[in-house]
Parts: sequence; C-alpha cells; structure tokens
Amino acid sequence: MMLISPLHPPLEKSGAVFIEAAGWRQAQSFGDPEGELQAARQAVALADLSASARILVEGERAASVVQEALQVDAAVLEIGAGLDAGWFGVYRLRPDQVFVHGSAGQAGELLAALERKAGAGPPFTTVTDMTHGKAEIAVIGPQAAELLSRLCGLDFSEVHFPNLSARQSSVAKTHQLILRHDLGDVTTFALIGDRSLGAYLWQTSLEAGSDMKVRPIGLQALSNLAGTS
Amino acid sequence: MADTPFRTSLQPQETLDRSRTISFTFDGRTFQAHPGDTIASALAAGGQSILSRSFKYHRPRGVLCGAGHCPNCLVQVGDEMNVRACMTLVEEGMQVEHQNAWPSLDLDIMSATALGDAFLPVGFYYKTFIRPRALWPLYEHILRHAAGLGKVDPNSSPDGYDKQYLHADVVVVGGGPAGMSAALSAAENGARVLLFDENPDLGGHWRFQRNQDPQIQELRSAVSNHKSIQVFNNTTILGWWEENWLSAVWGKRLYKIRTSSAVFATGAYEQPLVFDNNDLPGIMLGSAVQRLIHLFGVLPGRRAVVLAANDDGWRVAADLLAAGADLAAVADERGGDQAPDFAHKLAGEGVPVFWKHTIQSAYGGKRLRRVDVRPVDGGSAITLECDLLAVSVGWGPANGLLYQAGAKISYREDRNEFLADHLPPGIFAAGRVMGLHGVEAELADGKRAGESAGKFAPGSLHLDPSLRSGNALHSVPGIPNDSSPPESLHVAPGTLHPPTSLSPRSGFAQGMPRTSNRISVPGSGKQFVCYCEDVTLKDLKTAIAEGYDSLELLKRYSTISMGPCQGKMCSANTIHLCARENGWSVEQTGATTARPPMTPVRLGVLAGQNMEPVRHSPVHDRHLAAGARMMVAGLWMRPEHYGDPQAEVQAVRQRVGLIDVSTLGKLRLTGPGAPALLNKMYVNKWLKLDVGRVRYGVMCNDEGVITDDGVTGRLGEFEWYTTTTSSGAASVYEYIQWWAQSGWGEGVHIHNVTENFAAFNLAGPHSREVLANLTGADISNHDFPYMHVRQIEVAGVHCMVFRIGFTGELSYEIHCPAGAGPHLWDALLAAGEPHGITPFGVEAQRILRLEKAHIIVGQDTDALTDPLSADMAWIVKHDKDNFLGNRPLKRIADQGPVQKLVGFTMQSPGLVPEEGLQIVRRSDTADSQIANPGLEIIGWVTSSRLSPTLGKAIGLCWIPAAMADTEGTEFTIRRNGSLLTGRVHHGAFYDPEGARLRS
Repeated sequence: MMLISPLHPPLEKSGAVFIEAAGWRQAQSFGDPEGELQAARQAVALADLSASARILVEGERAASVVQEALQVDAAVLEIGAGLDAGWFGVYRLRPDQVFVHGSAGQAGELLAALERKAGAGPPFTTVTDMTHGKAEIAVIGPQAAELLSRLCGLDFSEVHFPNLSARQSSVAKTHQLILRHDLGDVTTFALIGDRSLGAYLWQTSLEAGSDMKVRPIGLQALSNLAGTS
Repeated sequence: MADTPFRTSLQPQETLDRSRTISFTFDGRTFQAHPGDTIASALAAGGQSILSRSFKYHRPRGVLCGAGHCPNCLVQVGDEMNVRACMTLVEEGMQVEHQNAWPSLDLDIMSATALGDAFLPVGFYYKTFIRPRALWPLYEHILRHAAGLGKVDPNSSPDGYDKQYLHADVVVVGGGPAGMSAALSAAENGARVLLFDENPDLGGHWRFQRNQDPQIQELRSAVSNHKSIQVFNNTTILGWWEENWLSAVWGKRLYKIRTSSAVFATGAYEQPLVFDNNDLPGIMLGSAVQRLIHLFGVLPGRRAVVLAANDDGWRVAADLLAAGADLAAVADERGGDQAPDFAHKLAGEGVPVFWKHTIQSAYGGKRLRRVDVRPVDGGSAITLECDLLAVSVGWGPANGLLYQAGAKISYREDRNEFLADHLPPGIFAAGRVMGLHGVEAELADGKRAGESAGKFAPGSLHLDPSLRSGNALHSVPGIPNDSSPPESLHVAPGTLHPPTSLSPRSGFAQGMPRTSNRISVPGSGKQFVCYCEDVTLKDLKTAIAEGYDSLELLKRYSTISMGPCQGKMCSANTIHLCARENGWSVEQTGATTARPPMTPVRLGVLAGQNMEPVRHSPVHDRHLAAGARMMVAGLWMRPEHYGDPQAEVQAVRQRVGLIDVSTLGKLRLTGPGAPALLNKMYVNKWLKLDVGRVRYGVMCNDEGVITDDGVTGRLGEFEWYTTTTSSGAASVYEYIQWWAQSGWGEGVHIHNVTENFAAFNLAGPHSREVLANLTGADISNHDFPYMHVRQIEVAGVHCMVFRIGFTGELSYEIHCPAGAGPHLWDALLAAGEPHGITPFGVEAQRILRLEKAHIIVGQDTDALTDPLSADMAWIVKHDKDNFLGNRPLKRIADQGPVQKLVGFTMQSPGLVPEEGLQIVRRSDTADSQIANPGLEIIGWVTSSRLSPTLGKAIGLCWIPAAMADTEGTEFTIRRNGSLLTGRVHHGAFYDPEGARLRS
C-alpha cells in the first residue's frame, strides 16, 4: 500500500516524476532538478511536504510531555516560537498546545514516544496524529515572503516572522498553520492546512506567483537544497 | 499615419526613448509615439485635440490636467473602459477608442442635447421626463444611451488581478520633495518605509520644471538606494481606514497596507477657473502644459495665452516660449507689483502683458480659437487669437487622505486653502498639502514629518513613546495643537508669508500664496464647474435658489464632485461659489466629506485574484476517472451520480454499493469528561454507552432547534468519535468548543479530525461478503452487530468500521487514514467486483435514505425545527440532567407541536411533487385571498423522489400536526396552479422493521 498526498493530482498534472519514499508516493522531481534547485535558491518554489509527520499535543502538561518524550526544551518556548531538534521541530501554539513536526515516515515513532508520556497523567494529555489530515506546502526561496504576502495578511518580514516560529492565519481564504523553518540559509515557510483544500491552495499559490516564475520542486531539489545550503 | 507636428526638440527632463518609435491607433487612425509617451501625450503630439465627449452635453473635451485627475481624457483601450489617457503609457499596437460619442468623436449627434438644455436643468430627473409614466422606459433607454462613460465588455478577461499585503513602520504618500525627504528621514530613524507615488518617477512637481534643483536629484538617488525604503511608483493610494490601514492600486494589483505611522505628502491639485466655455479643447491647466513640454516633448499649442494668478503662470509662459510657442499674451490677475522679477523680465522681452486682467470668454468649436481678456474690475474686453490657454490660478491641497485619517481641516483665509490644523496620533503631513510651496520649505517640512513618523514607529531606532499618545503629539515640532495658533503650523518660520523673491538655488519663489480667490468670471455662456457631470455655474445657482443651499445637499442634488474626479477639479470652486451665493464665509460653508476611493478603481482590482476555496475528498480523482457528475456541496465537490442514480439505488438494494462519505464531519473527544459533555450537547443519553457501541444523536441549540445529527462511537474508555453532517463539521466543532470552554469542558479535549480520515460506506446485502474478503477480523452479525464499531485492518489499513445504516441496508462505514483512502477505495471496488459493486453518489443516497424516511438536517429541517415536530420525540430524553434545548423541548412536549414532519405518498403514484411546493387547503379568510385566492398555505414539501425500489413517489412534508397524526390523511399540494393529492405515511417506506440493516 502506498499513501497518497492530497497534492498528488496537481503534482501529476505538473509533470512530477514520482517515487515511493517513507511509505508515501512523493514527487522526486519535475524533470529538471537543477532548475528546480535554482528556482528555490534565487526566486521562489513550491514543494509538497504533505508526507511530513504532524502531531498535536494538547493539555496542561503538553509542553512537559513533549519535553520529556522527545528530550527538547519545549517547556521554555514562548507562544509562536519553535525549536529545531534535527529530525523534528517543535512549535508552541498555545500554552496548552504543542505542535510536533517531523519528517515523512516518523509519525509512528513520534506518536509512540509522546503517547507513552501522555499516558502518565493526570491531568490528561491528548496526542493527535494530524499527519493524514493536513496538506503541507513549502514555499521556498528569497521571494517566498512576497508570494505569501499575496495570499495572507501576515507580516512575513524577518523581524515579525523569524526562523523557527509559527503563526495561524487565513491564507487564500483558508485556515493555515504557517511554520517558518528555513532550509539552511534559504527562507522557507510551510503552509499546513486542511487536506481537502490542499489542491486548491497549491493551484492558487502557483497563480499568485506566476509573475515570479514560481515552480514546483521535488524531493531531489529539496534534498540538494538542504545539503548545499 | 498621423505625423507628430507638435513634438518639440529633446527636452532635458523628458521621459521618452526617442531612439524607438511605436505606433497605435485612436478610433482606427494610426499615431506614432515613443516609448515613455502616454496615450494623451502621443495624441497631443499628433495634433489630436479632442479626446472625449462630455457626460451630459457631449461637448468636445481635450487634455485639462494631464495628471489623471480630471475626466477629460477617459478612453477605451481594448476591452477596458475609462482608461486615463494621460496616465497610461502607449504600447505598440494598442487600440484606443473614444467613449460616449456617436457616430464619431468629431461628429457627435448627441451634442445636440446642448440645444435642448432647457429640458435638462440641474436635477432634471426630478422635474422632466416624468410623465406620462408609461413612457419612462423609453426615456430611460435614451438617457442611459446618451449619458455615461465607457461600455462594459462582458467578454473582458478577469485574469491578472491580484492583491498583496504590505507592512511598514512608516508609509509615505507622495514622492515629491516633501515625501522623499520624509521617507529618508524616517528610514534614517530606523523605520521600514514604504513610499507611494502615482507617477512613474520620484520628484513630484519637480519632474516637469525647467530649472532643476540639484538637491532633488540627490534626494531621489538617496531614497531609491536606501535599503529600508521601498518605492512604489505608478501606485495610487485609494483610502485610509482605522488603525492606519491603507489601500493602493498599481495596475491590476491592490495593495493592502498596515503601517504604524503615515506621512501624507500628497501635494496639491491645480484648480481651474470658471468662465464662458472654459471646457474647450486647448484650455489646460498650467501644470498640464508643463508636463506635456518637459516630460513628453510636446508643444500643447502654437499660439498661447497664459492666465496667471501666481508665479507659476509666468513659469508656464517662460516654458512655452522656450519650447517654441508664440506667446500671444500673459494676463495676470495681480498687479505688476506682485509679480516676480522674472515676470517683468519676460514682459521686457516683448511678451504682451495684461496686469489685473482675467479671461472673460473662450471661443471655438472643436478647438480653442480665441479668448476675451478683460480687466478684473470690469471694463471692455480685448480679443486674442490663440489655440492654447494655460490657466494657472491656484492650487488646492490634496488633503482627502488626511481628512479620512481624522485630521481636522479648516479654511485659511490668508491662503485661500483648506489646511489641516490638527493631526491624530501616527498621522503626519508635509509639503504642499500643508500649504508650503518652495523646495526648501518642502524639504524641511518633509524631514520634520519623517523624523516624527520614524520615532513614532515601534521598530524605530529612536522610538519616542511620548509620540504615541494624543496629548504628547502637541509637543512634536511642526504638528499643530489646539492651543497653538495656525501660524505655528510649520517648522520653517515665515514660510507662509515670505517675500516673493527668486530662490537663489532653484529659481523658485518660496511659499507665496498660490490660490486665487477669484473663482468665476461673470458671463453668459456655459461655465463649467464640474467637468465630470457637466454641472455649470448656472446649475449651482439654480440648485441653491431651489433650497439646496447646504454644501452636502448641493452635492447630492447636482451630483457635483461625484464623478471620476471625485471633487479634485470642482470641490474648491463649488465651496467658494456656494459660500458667495449664500452670503456665507467659506469656513461657514465647510467642505464635503472625502471618501475612498480617492481615484477611480477597476472592479477587477477590488475583486483580486479569484480565490474560491474548494474541498476535494481523498478519492476525488477516482470519482473523476469513473465519470462522476460532480456537484457542489458547501465547499466540497461530491459525486452527484455516476450516470444513472436509479440504477445505483437498485445496486445498493440488491447487491452492494460504495459511496464516498469522507466529507462527513469527524470529531474526536478524549478525556473522562467526554460523556458528560456529549450528554449536554445531544438530546439523548450518552453516559452509559459501552466501548465498541455506536449511537445516533440529535443536537439542538438552547432554543430546542435541531442544529445537527450524526453517530457517535465509543472507541475506548476515554476516547469518543463523533460524526456530523458534511456541512456542519466546522460549526458543530465550534459549537461544542464554545460550550466546553464556557464551563462544560472539564476533563475533555475536542479535536476536529474531519480531514484525518477518508470514509466510505459499503452498503447492500453483499457488503459483508465484500468486506470479509479484505479483513481477517470476524465481522459476522454475532461478533459485529448493528450499531457497533470495531477497529480492524481492512486491505492492510488500520480502520474504524461502523456498522450503521443510513441507506437502510446492511452497511459498513469504514474510516481510514486519509492518505490510504485511494488504496482502500480501490481495494473495496476490486473486492466487490464479483458481487457487482457499484459506486453511488449523493442522489442515490438521498433516494435510499428517503425510502427509510431519514431526515437530512437543513433539507427537511429549518431554523425553527425541533425534534418533537420532526417526529423524533423518541430521541429526546427529558429524564436526564440538563441539556441544550431541554426547557423549550419540555414546553413543546407539554403543548404539543403545531406542525409535524411526516412522510407522504401520492394519489397518482408516478407524480413527484417538486421539493418546496406548498401544501394548501380551501379557505375563505381574507389573508388567503392575496396570493392564492381561496387557498390557505398549511405546509410544504421538503423532500420528494420517485422510489425505484417501491415504484412510486414518496416524500417528506410539513403539515399541521392534527393532519399528520393520522395515517392516510389526504392533503392538497399546489403545483403550477393545479392541485394534487398526497397521503400521510407513517414510518419508513421501505423495510419499516429495519430487518435488512440488522441482518
């Protein structure tokens, strides 16, 4: 069985070459990995990260559960702030809500660790695997903020939306959790919203950035980007 | 192809690329242009003097302001109407056409309306063309044809429009000397600055002056290169809203801008003078003449008369001479003693000068031919032949945005200008809009305003908290306060009344009064105050005489200032005229309200990029591949059917069918408090539901009205899974959250997991066999009975399977992780193939549920429906603790429902009454006579279909409870004037005992 991203139909229409990775059918490239890399480094690119692990931890003990389960300083995070633990990231959305964001295929491992600690209540803590319920679109590149400013009213400047931070807002009339998690030195925002709206948001983002020559990129370019940054 | 006889030699400031020539057409005639030309400048270079016809009288009109403020050069470009020719660059091959003239711009038959203007007085639509009433459609047709601007092209492309949000510490509006100075000053105080200017280059009015001040070029360069300043050229601010929220338009893009503070350096609009035939092509504002000469190398006329009431007029005269025009005369409303030295120098060079003279009348047909010049104080007129009259009589501060931002604006008699005398916190102003004229004063004022704005912004390096309160503003240099006299308005003392000497560096006089208080010259011809709506001086006087003497009434009655210029060309003159006619002061007369948008804006810009969110199920592409006809259901796209809904119903009843119900709302409730919360939210009981059991629930609001329904399964000791209607997912989640956070949420967490799971309903007598092929779990009726839930593997996917039956057949609702949805869908169809499985859509589902008489919330219920009236009294449990709707439902139970939802069949079995039809009975009451003589409406049909299973029409309807209570009661349905007979039916139409779904 292969898991299918909500963006699969539009990716396929854009000429994606698919591979199976971490149990998901993912876009390896769109036929020009080098060009895709350059687009991300010099302008703006979109990538499908819907296969990423996404787990929501809720409850009075949420931050301490994450801290104990994943061995990170989640309890000291301010609202809207995040941290990068290498293979996953942690963002505090509310005093009682922490979002854990991992690579594709890691949901099970993260979930198990978190549920083990969550079960040690009271007060009780709820761990919810949101991996399948969300589409995730990465907006990558020096013009990422400008593209997003055409879809969302937030201030995406360095001062107001620094690396490793999270905001929730309307993007193209849909509710999205927006994470800033740069790939090396390349500005990167992740739009995380309802899975069913993913194809719409993907297409709308492409249209909004058409004059910036926005283009979709695949795993190969993403990997190179992370490696060369 | 038209030549360019009015093109001058190369001008130092011009924006043209003369190395290239492009061509375009105007009304089919080809014109030449250079890149950088506007449509208007290229047409002027080619000798085209008429650009449009006026709104009402269809009089010929040519360039007036050259700055995009007046209506005179509105043209049609391709499919776009009302394009400002003076602001739009020519493109190769562009097709430009006139508007509002027939059959041609030169020969417009509708100009005959001027002969019948006795029938078109101000407010004529209240006076004439009223009777006979029957002819109004004819009048309306003719009037609408005669008036108006461009024509909408219904095939116009909506593509290319978008919007963008911008954020700044300081927004500066206006790229002239004051604006640039303010931007630089704010940026040097550490602020993020956005500078907006409606022109293609920075410099404001300095862009089209002969003697350039080197300071301006240096400032332009410094601003353009500053890393904290972003310049938006060709961008017009449309309006200001609360909390420093501004909008701007650039081409097809709308900017929405949030800023901490704003500096308005919006400059001033040059104002026209009112005299006989003051609208003839060839009569231009002085600044328009300068723009044409300096920016575009176009000589606006060969023989010119200049009317001056300030030094600017003399600069226009000098520019015309230098460009090669024959200067017939300069008429200055002032005496020679008030004129600058260079004016006397020009006079000494042989230019005829008429001191203390003004323009009496202009004459001409399609172009100005001559003017009468007469002494200001009366006397005989002198006629001068000319084809150009440049009018430079004064400026009106562009203070509309300041007004919107809350500035207090009052009239300054000494300046003849409306100026801001108090600014709210975070709002700053500088330059000509504050009455300052002259580069030194404008630069100094801009610097002061920018510094204050920069310090106001939270990101500033030098944040001054004292600036953030209204009182503290009084201490800011240059910002007026209630206790200081207006003379303290500006930082440069004396700049309001300086000597009229030449500036040593710029050649410009500093800060002289610029505005003539002479608004109109007595005459007998048409004297236009409003160019947009063809409102004349006579119209205004008539309106005031009729009692519309207050400025706001005058505006609404005469429509003055309500056209494309939005008062830029007419407001100041109207205020003065209104004051004089009423014998009031200008201060007493006041000013009209400046509202956004400040400039006409395309509707496409306001609409922006087409953003209509649409939701796709995890197997959306499977439906498309199967040839489904998709339908919109809320934001969702759902398969209505796959070609034959009746056959799909039969498949479910006889074999097995599969429907995608991923759109169902899905909530996960966790924690020990979950059953207590459910017990309060739903009208039935939840405290004793065992793990693995499922229960149908109805949710009401606190008025007892049904808001949603669905099933809830208990997955574990502290884990519950609830489904809602597809359209109710978000609202039910919010509703439960609201009550949970209002005190009912102790020990419970609620998550909307609608999107986490794909859900498919496998329904039909063979569904167990199909499912059994894909799971190792025991799904026999004994181990997995009706209204139970199991978590089992299906086709290798961990699923929640609910044994429930909306369709009335044995069925399994299978919920799996959404990413596995396509795999499971494919697996179920493949496993069902030997059993003749058929995917079925919403239409088949609606028939199937109707055969079982199941309601759909929102279709069979409305905003007043309670469960007792909906024939669901069985689900309301008054013997439990308080719940939403408890008390009103008790009251309804005590009194008995008035109306009831009930099933029905038809006397004619094949006749299906449409949903929404009225149910009526005979009546002689007066009320019933109005809409349906002799009939009283007593109910309506909510659902109806032809049941393929039963072979007859069935439905649900609302009728009086007394009728509904008796099986077989006949009632009347009114359909297209005929009366049909229906019969009350109790219970499900199909398998009323529910044996099939329990099998």
